[in-house]
Amino acid sequence: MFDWFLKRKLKRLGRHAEPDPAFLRALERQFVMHAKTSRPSSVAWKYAVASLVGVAFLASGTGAYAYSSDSVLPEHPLYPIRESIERVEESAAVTPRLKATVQLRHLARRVHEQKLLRQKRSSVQEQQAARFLQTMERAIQAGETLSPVAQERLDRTIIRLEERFAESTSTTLPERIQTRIQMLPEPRRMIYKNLLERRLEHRLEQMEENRTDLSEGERPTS
Amino acid sequence: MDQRDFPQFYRKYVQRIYKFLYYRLGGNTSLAQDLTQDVFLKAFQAFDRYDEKISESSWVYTIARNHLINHLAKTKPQVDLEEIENTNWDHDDWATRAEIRYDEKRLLEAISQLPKQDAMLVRRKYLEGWSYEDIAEMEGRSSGALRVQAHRVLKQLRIALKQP
Repeated sequence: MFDWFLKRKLKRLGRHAEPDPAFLRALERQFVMHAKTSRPSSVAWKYAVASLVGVAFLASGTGAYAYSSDSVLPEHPLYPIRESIERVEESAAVTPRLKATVQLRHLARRVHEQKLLRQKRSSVQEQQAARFLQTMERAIQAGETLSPVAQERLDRTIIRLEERFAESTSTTLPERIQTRIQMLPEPRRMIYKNLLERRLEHRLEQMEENRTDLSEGERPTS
Repeated sequence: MDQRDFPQFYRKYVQRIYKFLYYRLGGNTSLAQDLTQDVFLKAFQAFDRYDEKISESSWVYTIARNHLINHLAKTKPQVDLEEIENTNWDHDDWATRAEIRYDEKRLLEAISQLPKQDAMLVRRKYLEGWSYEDIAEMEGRSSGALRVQAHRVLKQLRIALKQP
């Protein structure tokens, strides 16, 4: 009985902190509106249309060739078809994770293309660097909606791919990447900066080791 | 989870989250409203990534708690952030603003005399409106143990209120 009185008193005390119903309704309206605009049916439509376009491209032998052949490089007349298929892939990716995966795949593709261009001693390597930077930008943006753990994993992969790209290009690209990193918001900028610094240290260590090996090799045997 | 389910989720937790913030912001209604909006906006943005293994209440409570910590770290660096649950409870800022009655003030004083864990249980359960199951999830205890604890705490409160 006394407990009942006490509980009632406590609940009455809690009522002093009740939020204003007008505020609750206004806030709810915001979410109802947003929830309506994010209907999965529209997402499904987007996915279906994009997939159909992709399948149509691939089904035509030219599309499949343009998409997967190593001889279709930036200077090739079929290269724009590859770019179109990639754009379709990007719009078909509906979840943040899928978006990031697609961007990483495209970034890896730019690295592979760069290697082939270098082997061919192509003159379009500078344009390819710009293309790589654009894809990298999209991959970084795709990471913005991921969880911190997934974002960190994505950032590490991007850095690894950048490293591979830098190995097969001229020295102007790292400078551009440094500029891009300077533009990133604070927590991600630090992550990228640290990863690049670590990579540089690792390279210097490797160079040092190689030098030591060489000098040991030169030492006259007694 | 599907974002279309968010309005339902919002209706279920908005009062509790608002009260959680209101008490810890010293009864500042407009600030509590702003932070409540921020918390639910964050929850809405992350709703499709919400892991259903975690209970809804623990999830939204954690968002609110972290948001409050960030806010207080900016505005009141002297506040002990580890003690966020007790922040402002021991001051009667909100009670002054809310113009509570004399017997209610006595009740609040009696609650603040309780051991920290007991006081927190009463506040969460009766003033903020969380269920025993919600609190059990937040604290990693069984709801049965909390019910027993609440029974004992109410008894202590009753005794404290009888004293002149």
